[in-house]
Amino acid sequence: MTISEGVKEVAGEMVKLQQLLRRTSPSHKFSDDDRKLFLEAIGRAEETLRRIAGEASFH
Amino acid sequence: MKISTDRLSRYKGMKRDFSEEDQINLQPIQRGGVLTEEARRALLEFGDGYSVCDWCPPKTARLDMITDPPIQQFYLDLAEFLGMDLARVVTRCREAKFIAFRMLGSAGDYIVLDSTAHYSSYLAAELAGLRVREVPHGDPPEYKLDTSAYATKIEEVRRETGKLPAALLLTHVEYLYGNVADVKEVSRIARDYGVPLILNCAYSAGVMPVDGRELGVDIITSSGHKSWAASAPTGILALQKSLEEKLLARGKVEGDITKRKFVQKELGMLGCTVPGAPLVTLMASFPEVVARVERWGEELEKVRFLVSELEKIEGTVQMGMRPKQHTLTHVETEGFYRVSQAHKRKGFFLYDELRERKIVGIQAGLSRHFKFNTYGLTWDQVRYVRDAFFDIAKKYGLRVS
Repeated sequence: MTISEGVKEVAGEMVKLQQLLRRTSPSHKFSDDDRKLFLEAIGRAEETLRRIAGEASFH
Repeated sequence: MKISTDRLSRYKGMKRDFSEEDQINLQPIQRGGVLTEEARRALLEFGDGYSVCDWCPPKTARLDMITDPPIQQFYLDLAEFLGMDLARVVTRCREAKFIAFRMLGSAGDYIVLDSTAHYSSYLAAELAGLRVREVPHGDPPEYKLDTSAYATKIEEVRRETGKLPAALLLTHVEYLYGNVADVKEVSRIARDYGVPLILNCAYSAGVMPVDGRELGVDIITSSGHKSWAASAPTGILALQKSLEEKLLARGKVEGDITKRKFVQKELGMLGCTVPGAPLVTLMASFPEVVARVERWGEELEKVRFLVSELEKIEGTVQMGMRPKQHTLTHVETEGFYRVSQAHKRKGFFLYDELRERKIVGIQAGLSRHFKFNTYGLTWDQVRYVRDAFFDIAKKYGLRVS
């Protein structure tokens, strides 16, 4: 995965979170599925960010 | 001309006041245009200017011929979804109406339209050099359109001009009360007289099922940013094959010096129409739009539930036809109006109270009557809106029965 692909992937995960916030606004009471989706998206984003940071250190 | 850095700084970091992530937005024209997740991703990918033109075919340099992204296929799918033969994406619904009027009529011709049509229908007719004859609607509280009067108006035009109107325009769902028109009655009249029928689906196609063939219409116009989960500006012009030659006629002009011709370009479209991000959001949302119209029944359940709940508040009555056939709703609220008369903020008190409860989209300053739209809200959000209105009513001593 290139750095730019990684950046897009992270942005995509953030869009996913935004959509969840939209669906649950304004109270943001998450169901178990929502919470799972939210945490999984953050986990994937974190992992990708670490990979991007690693890639960037070689440039 | 230089513009100071200070002045230019206002364009940095712009943020939207009605953030959908933190508030419930009931704005009647905005609910159906809320982007899907896929569209928001596509917006990031295709936000640059002519982003869809990377692979524009040089021999047929036209938006509807581009296959990557799959615009050509999308136009076919769009037409099929609407029960029509051909489709084009244009800048707005009003441009779609203008193109239809301009290509079907000649200066001085008449259009017969419903008296609840959006103002842009009138302006589109005027810009196309056409005159209008209106079909009346009934009395309050229903304001039901007298669809049978289309025949009367056609006859009036024929008596006055010696010829038939250039087209009939019917607003499928009108913007004032959310009434849904009886399309089949008008299409029968149109067929009897041999006059093309344009159905303005700005508030319908994309949120509820619309099948042009089944309804018997010749042209459908719609709005991507109003009802197809797309960014503005996006409009849809869909037509039956029988009108292809008229509506999609090619350019014939020739430069007197250069002898340049533009025979590949569609005249009414002025060539390519929406060559970038808005079109891609429309395409990206399309799979969800196809799926969501199947859930229209649930959207009606939600709005009918909310209306029945709000009518428990003293002085609140839904206007327009009952039961609700569309999520765009107009209510009269005499109770809130009485409160406003004694309130220091007058009619703005209701907006303030709703805003405090993170609900936006009801027009600021209105308390006697207002419109809202519940399209796409979850049941939790609908109940949240109900509770907020009850809370406000009780705070100001209105009876909630």
